[in-house]
Amino acid sequence: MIVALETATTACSAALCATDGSVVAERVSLAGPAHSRLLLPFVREVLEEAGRGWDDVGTVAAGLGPGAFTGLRIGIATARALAQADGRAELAGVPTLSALALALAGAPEAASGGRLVPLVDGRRREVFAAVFEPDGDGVRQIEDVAVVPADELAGWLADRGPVVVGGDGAALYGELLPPSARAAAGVVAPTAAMVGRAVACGAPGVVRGPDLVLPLYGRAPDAKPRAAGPGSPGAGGPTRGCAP
Amino acid sequence: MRTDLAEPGQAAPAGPILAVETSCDDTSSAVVHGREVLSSVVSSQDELHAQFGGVVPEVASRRHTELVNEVIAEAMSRAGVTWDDLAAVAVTQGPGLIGALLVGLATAKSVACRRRLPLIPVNHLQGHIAANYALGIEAPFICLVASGGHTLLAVVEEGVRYRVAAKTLDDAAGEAFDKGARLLGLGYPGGKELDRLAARGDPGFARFPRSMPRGRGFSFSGLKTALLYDLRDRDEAEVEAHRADIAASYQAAIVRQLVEKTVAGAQHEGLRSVAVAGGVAANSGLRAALTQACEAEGLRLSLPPLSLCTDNAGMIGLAAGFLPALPWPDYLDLDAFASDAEAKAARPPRTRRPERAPRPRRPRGA
Ligand SMILES: [Zn+2]
Repeated sequence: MIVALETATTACSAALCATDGSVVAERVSLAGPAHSRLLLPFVREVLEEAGRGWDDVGTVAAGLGPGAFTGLRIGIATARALAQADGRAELAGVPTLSALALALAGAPEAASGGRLVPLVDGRRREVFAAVFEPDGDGVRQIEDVAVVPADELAGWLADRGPVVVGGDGAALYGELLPPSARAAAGVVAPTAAMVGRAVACGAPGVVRGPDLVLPLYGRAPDAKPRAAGPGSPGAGGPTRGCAP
Repeated sequence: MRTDLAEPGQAAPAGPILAVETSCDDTSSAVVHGREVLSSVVSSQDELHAQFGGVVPEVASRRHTELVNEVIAEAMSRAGVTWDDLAAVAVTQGPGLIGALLVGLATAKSVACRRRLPLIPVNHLQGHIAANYALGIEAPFICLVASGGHTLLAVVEEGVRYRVAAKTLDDAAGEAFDKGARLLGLGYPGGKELDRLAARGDPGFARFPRSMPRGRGFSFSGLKTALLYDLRDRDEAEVEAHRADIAASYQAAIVRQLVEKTVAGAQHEGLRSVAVAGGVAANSGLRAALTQACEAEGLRLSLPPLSLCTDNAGMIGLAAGFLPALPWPDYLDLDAFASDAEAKAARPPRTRRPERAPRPRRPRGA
């Protein structure tokens, strides 16, 4: 079975999925960022609800983002450590946009065709977006992740023809969507169930092992390296040593 | 095994503790048994942050995520322990950089959860103080805690329980070293560079104010200003020629205050045992001056090796031996805290230290 985690957005979720990707038990909180407090209790609850133990778990999987940095790290650090201490379970990860795209492919709004464009809130009035198209039972990615300013979203989407959009970015900027975009009402926050299914189905970008299951930040840290050498002004962060 | 050294009523988990510390820019893990550090691995991010001229929290958090599992594996391998040998997992809960703390906390909670081990959340400052227990010190003692974020005198009453006898009124000592290093145009990390330069300078070259704040608190912002004026009053060639002398004079002024206040604090509290903790305790000028002063005053000095002064998980494991262990699953919802003020909000009142040993481990699985 698969223990799946998804923490790239303000939604926090854990799921227990069968190896075919079907959901056995799931916990989702949309209440806002409290991943540190919610995630492991959710993991415990899905196992208990299903009457399963770690001996039944073959894979620990996490959504890799992009998304909000801190939440993303909590989910991925949790998955990495659970797999490490388990010693036997495989560690897997899938880009959050890829998991969302697979969910979009199954949405009723996608029945009439069109490309699939998951949108994740990137804060600062930007969204993380990628373009997929249906491919048999799965999806195929046809454009890499882009960081699209909210104000340019309508034009960016319109350039891609008829599309089905979803994700928390689509919900947040619903009023900015062009007529060519149909929002999938049932695909809002990315969830652990989507991650479990994406890993089970081999969605685009699935990776395995601790060398690869790491956050996809989609954006560099704000700090810019300063000119090295003595005498340069202290433009860096706080002084070294434990913070107050 | 040295659990016989544990103080009465302070039942340390009977077996090795895996400790994790990621409160700032060093990723660290250790295995500690009683007062013995079986292994301590620190993956320093100094080089990474040097290009930014200071610790960038987001950069540190990213690096912790990449490193922490390997560092844990290395600590366990060096200690020769397996998951089945561990009695508990300890982790720094705060204070520190919140994003950095959360990586270590999520990791520690998760390994503990998977192995159904108890978790011991540790306050970073108590960790620094506890480093001295590796040297065989016995409470009560007075401890100078000095780092980039803290400068205080802790009266350690028992285990890692302490009372603050004095603290800084403005900058922390480590901050004073780092800011001084910047004014002197030294590289990063500043405190270390300043110490190295000061070693070949004349501490009597420049005169910095001897006066100290009234009362028992520390103050360093005046010294920093004095250094600024001193450098301004000299021409470039003179600064160039005497950079080491100015550094030595500045360092001596900081050290003088730390040493005098610490010795006075010990005398005021009637304590004969003095300890130091925190990154500033790695400063060679401080170590020499404090050794001399304690000898002169007949005080017993505990001076941890450098590896136990700077941030490390060994000290977290040592502190854990004195703290209550939360049994599975009581810690699954534990949160980190950035400051001591936030600590109270992070979780409802802590469970008191149990009178008895932590409950035996449950069977694994599930
Ligand atoms: Zn520290």
